[in-house]
Amino acid sequence: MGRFDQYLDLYLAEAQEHLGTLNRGLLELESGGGGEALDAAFRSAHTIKGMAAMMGHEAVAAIAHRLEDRLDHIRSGRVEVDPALIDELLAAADELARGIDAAVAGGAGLDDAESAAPAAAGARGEARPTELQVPDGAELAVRVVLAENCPLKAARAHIVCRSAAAVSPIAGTWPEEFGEDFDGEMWLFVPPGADAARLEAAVRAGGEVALVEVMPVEALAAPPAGGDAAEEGAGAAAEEAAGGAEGAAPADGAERGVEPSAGLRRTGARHVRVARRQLIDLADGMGDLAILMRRLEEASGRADAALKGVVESMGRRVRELQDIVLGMRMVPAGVVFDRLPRVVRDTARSLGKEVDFRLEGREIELDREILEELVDALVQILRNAIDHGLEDRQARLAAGKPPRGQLVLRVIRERSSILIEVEDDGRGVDRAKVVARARALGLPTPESPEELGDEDALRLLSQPGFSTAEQVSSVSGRGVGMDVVVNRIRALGGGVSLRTVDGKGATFRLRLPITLALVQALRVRVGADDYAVPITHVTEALDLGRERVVRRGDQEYVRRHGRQLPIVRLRQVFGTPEEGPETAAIVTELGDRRAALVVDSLVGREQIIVKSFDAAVGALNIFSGAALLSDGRPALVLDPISVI
Amino acid sequence: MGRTVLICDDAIFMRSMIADILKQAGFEVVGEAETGAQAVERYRELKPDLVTMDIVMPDMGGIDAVRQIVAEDPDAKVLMCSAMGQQALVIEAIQAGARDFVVKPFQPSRVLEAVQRVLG
Repeated sequence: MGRFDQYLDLYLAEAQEHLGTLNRGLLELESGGGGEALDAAFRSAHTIKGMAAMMGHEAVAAIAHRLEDRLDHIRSGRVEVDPALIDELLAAADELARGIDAAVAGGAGLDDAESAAPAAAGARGEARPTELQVPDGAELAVRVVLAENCPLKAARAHIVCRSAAAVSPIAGTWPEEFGEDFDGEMWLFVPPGADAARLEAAVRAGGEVALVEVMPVEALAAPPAGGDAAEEGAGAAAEEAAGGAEGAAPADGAERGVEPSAGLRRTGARHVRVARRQLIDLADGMGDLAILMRRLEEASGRADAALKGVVESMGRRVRELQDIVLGMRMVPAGVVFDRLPRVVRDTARSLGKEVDFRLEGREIELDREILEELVDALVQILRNAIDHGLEDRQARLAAGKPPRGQLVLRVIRERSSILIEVEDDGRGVDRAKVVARARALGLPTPESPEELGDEDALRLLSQPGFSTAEQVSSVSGRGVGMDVVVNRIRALGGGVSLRTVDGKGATFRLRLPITLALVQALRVRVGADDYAVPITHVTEALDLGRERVVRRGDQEYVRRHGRQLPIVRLRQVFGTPEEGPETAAIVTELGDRRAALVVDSLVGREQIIVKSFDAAVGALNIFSGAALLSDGRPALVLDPISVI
Repeated sequence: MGRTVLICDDAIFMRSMIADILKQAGFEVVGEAETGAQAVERYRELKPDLVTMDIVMPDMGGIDAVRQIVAEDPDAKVLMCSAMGQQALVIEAIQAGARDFVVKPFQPSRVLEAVQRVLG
């Protein structure tokens, strides 16, 4: 087990933070800022350098060092900042991030507890320096690596050489001279007649020697042993993280019996890294267990006291476990959303737009799975905003707006749902274009663009294949559009709404359940079947007996909170035969669409696990998935807005 | 027979420290020197088993002293005591005949290891 393994998670966590600071500083630098942010970026590069060196990740430390130097030159005014330089620095920051991940995943550069020096020695530098020149007449080559912590390595090298020279003449060394930057790795070349064992002993007698390898010079022509794989930061190691850990085994492991561990690392740290898949499976399993538990509880209602007692205890324990597992899935939104400022910046650059982007609510916690699912959708919305919504500098100035487009992403926590808003101050959705496109596609449209409401605009925009881009930009290409976004969100049990004001801007609002694993739902009965309606979509539930239903023409209304809510009878929607009274209604609202959906009865509140299904296109689009109810029966999950 | 040592450093504090470390290892401090010139003279008189030599001293520095001592006695066993960042000078001292070196601030264990190597 490596000496520094316990620091691995801490190192990674701190390095990520510093990478964040670094990126923010660079973006700040780009938008003309400097000073504080630049200093912070410089310090972060410096800190990462130090930490990486401590962990033995020399390649990462080297990258960080270069970055630190360049930032220092900027700070001291020796170098001017221009967009090309920023691009380079951002690319270097990306390289640094990759290098850190590779080094951590590959396990390279970490010490072996038995003797720190050999491990570091094996990992440090190349096994065969490419410019190794074997002098004529040399028969043996001796690779010597000094202990990592050996002071004044060049001086020690002299002593080692002298010690070896007492046993055999030295035909040459590499490097030829030991300068101030000598890193402790050297080669001695020895003419025929030397005794390898005595030579090795003499070298070790020089002191502070971690590694001695005596070999015939012919061996140098062969390809290097697996020791190279231990060099972290190499692109190859990055690609096969597990392969990197194994690759380090042959050269070093053979000598010291080290067993690198792939997969789950026992670090003794406070945090453990686990495959995401495992966490998802665990949550799924817990959810199923919770349902079975409830069935057991129901069934044990008729059992004897002893059994009841056990079941009760089990039930408590299962619910506790559930809370723990759900807790494991929650992370602050920033963990995933911090990637977005870079995406916005790169997109704006490639489209020739100038954008100021703000991220609000980074600290709000969400289910990690939802976050990951959301990222793609948000990137699409952001790209659309930059591409279509925000005008270029000239147009904005002509419209009396600040020259740089303003784009905000807000994460807002409500009681049982999360709201994510993307707001821009661009030209808003172009209703004329949308109507024209809809007509071209044969979709129903209002008479004139002015009559196209926000919700209808969104509905049209969400039609498959509906892209109003005149040219297919490389960023928001044809076909990858709002339909994918909206469907994704609906499949998560959420909804999308749009508010757009001509010339002023647009806001997309996503509403999502707090956690995917378990969704709170109302269970309703229509006819012989029960359905589940996610609470995120329900504003309130009504007891129809008490409310007044009025009819105006073809439409029925129920009056509530001073408003008339149009009624939709689900019996009619589902085509269920009419039997018995309809006693309840659930009120659903999204933007300016609202209605009261009438059902036969409200059965109750449940926690369900939504399993989405692949429905045939166009069919069943009022259902967003299927779920298991507490009694084990399956039920369709209704998306109430789509019924209106 | 105990092993004898000549300690050369221009600072009393350093000489005391080194003396303490070596005495604990069984050495007998038979002489001290404050300058390179003194070091050369005392060596001729005492012919100690071991010499510890500071690099920077007034009136002939440690490197020249080593060179002279080794010229007069090729078997002389000299251990250089250097501060951090004096690598070039240490290398020079080695080339002048010093057998090994320790770096200040030194830990007793390292000193004793180095002494071990020097005395073989």
